[in-house]
Amino acid sequence: MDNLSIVYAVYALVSLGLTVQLARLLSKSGRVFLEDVFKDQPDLASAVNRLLVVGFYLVNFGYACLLLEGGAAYTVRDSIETLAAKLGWLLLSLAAMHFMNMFVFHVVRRRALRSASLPVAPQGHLPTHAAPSLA
Amino acid sequence: MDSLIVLYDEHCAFCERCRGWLEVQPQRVPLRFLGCRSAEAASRFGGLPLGAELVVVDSGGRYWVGPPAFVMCLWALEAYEDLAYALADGWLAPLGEPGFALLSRHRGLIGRLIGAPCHDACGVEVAAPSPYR
Repeated sequence: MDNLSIVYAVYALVSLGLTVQLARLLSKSGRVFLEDVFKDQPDLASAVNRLLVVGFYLVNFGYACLLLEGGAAYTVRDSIETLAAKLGWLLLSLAAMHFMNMFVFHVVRRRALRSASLPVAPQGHLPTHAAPSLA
Repeated sequence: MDSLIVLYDEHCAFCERCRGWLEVQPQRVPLRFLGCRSAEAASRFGGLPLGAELVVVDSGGRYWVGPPAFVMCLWALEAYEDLAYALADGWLAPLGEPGFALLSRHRGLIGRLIGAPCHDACGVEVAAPSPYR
């Protein structure tokens, strides 16, 4: 009998714990960003935050499940290598999702900030009597 | 900002086409068009380099000349606001200023290529007497 079942069990626990912890971190820190962007709509801020976390869970649990199957675990060394490879791929996918979320926050915030400003500063100002009012 | 006045070259058929395109786009900020060779343009905006460059003036008297004026025209359109920011200082910034400068400089050639050659004095700066010069 090999240790594959043990590898699966450890992997399942670690991936569950990692995903949940990261999702909580994401929602806690993301809220600060979103509340700043949607100052006058706190409901919208928490809704966007929840939706992002749901997406995060779906992608990561889905990927974690796909990674579960397979690998050699005849010896202790095999088992450790298999576990490390699975967790390695999972961590990379978590990292990719994390940076994608940060990018989303960045874009949302930048759009909110810039709506108050012009894309290019005016090059000058006409004397007031020439200020246009074209009918 | 209530509106933007676009002072374009009405002798330039390509500019007229651009005007036609701008007019049919949904606008966030209303665009109004004034030929830069008109008497009204000369009397109100004579101090600006009319004719040589595209000029945009807002309702408060602030003005943009050349590539920034193109950016402001895009910014005023609902569908092109993002593009305007990208061209001004975003990821398309390297293309923005040189691109619009090129468009402006070669508007006569572009006009001929699209079958709309300049009427006569395309791109020549208006030499109207101005109280600001």
